[in-house]
Amino acid sequence: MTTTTGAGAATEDYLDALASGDRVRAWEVVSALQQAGASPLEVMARVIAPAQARVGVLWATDAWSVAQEHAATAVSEAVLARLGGAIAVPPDPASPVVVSCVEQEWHALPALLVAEHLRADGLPVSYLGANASAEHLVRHVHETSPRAVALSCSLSASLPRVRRQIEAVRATGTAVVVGGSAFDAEGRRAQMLGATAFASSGAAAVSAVRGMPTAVTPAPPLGHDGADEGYAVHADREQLTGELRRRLEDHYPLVGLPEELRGWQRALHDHLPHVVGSLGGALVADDPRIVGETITWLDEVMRHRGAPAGVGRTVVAELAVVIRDYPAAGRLLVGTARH
Amino acid sequence: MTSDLHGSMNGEATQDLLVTPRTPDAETRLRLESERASFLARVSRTVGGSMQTERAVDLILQMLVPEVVDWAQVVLREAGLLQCYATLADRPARRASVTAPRSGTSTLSRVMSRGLRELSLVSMGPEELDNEALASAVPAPELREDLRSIRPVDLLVIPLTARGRGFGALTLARRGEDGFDEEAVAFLEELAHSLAVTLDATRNLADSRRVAGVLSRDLAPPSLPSMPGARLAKYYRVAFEHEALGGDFYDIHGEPDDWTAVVGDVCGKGVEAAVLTGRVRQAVRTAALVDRSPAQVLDLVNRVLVSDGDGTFVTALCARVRRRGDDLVLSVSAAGHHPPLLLRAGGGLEAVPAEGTVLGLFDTHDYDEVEVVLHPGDSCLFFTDGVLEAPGLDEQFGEERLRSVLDGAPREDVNTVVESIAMTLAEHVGDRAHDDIAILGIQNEPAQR
Repeated sequence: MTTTTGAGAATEDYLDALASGDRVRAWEVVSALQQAGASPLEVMARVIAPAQARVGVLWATDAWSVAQEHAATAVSEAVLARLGGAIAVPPDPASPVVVSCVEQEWHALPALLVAEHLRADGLPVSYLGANASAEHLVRHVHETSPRAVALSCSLSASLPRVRRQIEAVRATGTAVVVGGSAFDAEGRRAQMLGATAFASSGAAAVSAVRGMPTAVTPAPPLGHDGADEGYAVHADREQLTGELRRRLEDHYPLVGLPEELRGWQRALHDHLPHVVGSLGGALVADDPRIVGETITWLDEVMRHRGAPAGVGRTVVAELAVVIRDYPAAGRLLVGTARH
Repeated sequence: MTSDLHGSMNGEATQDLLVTPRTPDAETRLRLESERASFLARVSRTVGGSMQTERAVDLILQMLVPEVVDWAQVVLREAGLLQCYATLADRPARRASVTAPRSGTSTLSRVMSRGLRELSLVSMGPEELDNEALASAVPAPELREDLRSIRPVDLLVIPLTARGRGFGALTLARRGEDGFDEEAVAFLEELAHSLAVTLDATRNLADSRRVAGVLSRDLAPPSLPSMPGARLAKYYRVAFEHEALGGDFYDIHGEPDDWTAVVGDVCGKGVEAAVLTGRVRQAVRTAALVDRSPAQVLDLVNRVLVSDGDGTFVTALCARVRRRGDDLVLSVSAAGHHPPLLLRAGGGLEAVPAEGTVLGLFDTHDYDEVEVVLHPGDSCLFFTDGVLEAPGLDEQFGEERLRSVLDGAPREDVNTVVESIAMTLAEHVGDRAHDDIAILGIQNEPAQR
């Protein structure tokens, strides 16, 4: 292994190890940094978190396969668990911070990072992991009487679920800090959804939890235009996605295409639920930028997989027809098409 | 970066809820009444959801101070102690615990035992904090401290009574010149009454929850042990999310290099089913101690269930897992359960031909064993029919879909395989009601590169 000096070089080495799913080498990179004096949290913040962010990009740009992404994430989770093992567990498990991913959120790594940061700061943690349902979360809150709940969400299509979970947790008087790539850096979406606080990093989550009130009132109802429609889009997303798929079949046929030729067409097909869902997220969080971001991201994914130009535009045009009965969603799409 | 989003607890500034104008016109009267009513509604809504005593008390204090009174204390009697919580405006609530006085000797105990409120004016100086009247209403010296800034002070002590039992008191303080008039007292008594009902329910619930927690601990799905040279993965989802327990189960136990794994599904759902899974898992553990052969284990469990004779039945897969050189060898027996699937590291997908009669219905002894060899990197998946029968928009998940997920998923790590199924299943099911679901994966660790 090459000698690693800075965190940047270490991140490259670490990413190399992830690329081949090599746990042993990934751990060597990490332990070299520790021997050079880095704390577990520094390793997490300066190497693992940036490397994992790159993994997402590498997948989106088709440089890495799904299998590589999975293998890389499995390696990082193992490394995190080992790093976390070096952090002393707070002696008093009473009133933990419950750390959880929103329902249907499978990217557990950011939540895991937050959990380790909280632990390192002396806060006991009860970690629920990926895909925790609202019922499960609330029952856990009742059982453990936590000092706060930290909720992670990476996909904007899940923001309606975030809102439901915030409502459910706040109804118990418990404060909620949210974070993850589904939110904007200013925390505006978090505020709209009724979160007690927003945190953009593990360290921020620690100070948010430390500064939170011991009891909060129930979340006031969402008053803005389009909120109800956002829930409707969220509830109807499967039917809407189905119709969108049928309409796009005229432009980009997938049915009947042999398996080996289903490259970007398959990716497009797989990502439509997220595109439709992001409309619901944009309406509930009252942030039209969400739809634009999703389409830009879709175009990126398509471009790197050799799709013809203009897929995003076609998707927006057909989606506008599909959601004809949802006026607020329609206005969002018109705004997106103009940009 | 963080931003503080919680803002003020007591949103809208309202008129003083405790002051009734001397000669109110109809409109003022109506507005005051409706504001009092909406405050009561807001308090019960806020406090009612908490279901945890200390948090509920915290919320009560936050809502009362400073919007309604200048200082407030909630006292709850608990096994010979008085738990006291108090707050002054803009200060976090303080808590203290004191020995409960003998009945009738203090304002607090009198109020609690008689169930009648008491109102008193205390015109104290700074040196008078140990004033007897004050001390008997606010027994914890550290809580009395905050009352220094309010004097003279009107103290109103209202009993918290539910189910005919005074279990605590609400003490409210207001600057002497503001005072509590008759209407204010009536309003606050109504408030205390509704708080008492909520707090009583909350305390009651906490007790039941503790009992339920102890009883259900053994029924919840266990965490997976670490098995040298093997990787284990699971996915577990119950039909009745609110009960958290279901009729599907898995368990894995044993000693280094000789393990018993079981996955199964008892008839029924929810808590009743979970109680039966507890019995079955226990029977499997006991049987495995005698003889780890899965056919023997299932045979014994069947005899236990048949002898119970209550018509309940169970489907299950039982496997003995042993190491043989680089290989992991599974002996599998089935009882009316869907056969396990074998994922070869190189890409093959095979159903293990294990079959046998469902447990608990017939007095048979016909369980067979099928041997399965997992080479390094190979995995074996056990699952319940909740996977195949998971409802979608148009159709059930089905075996074909399961196979196509398994064909597409990377196989380096069985955790990734199980997660791929879980993700596809969750997306397929959406918010629809579904049956209990359990998946257990066992992988022979791939050779180290």
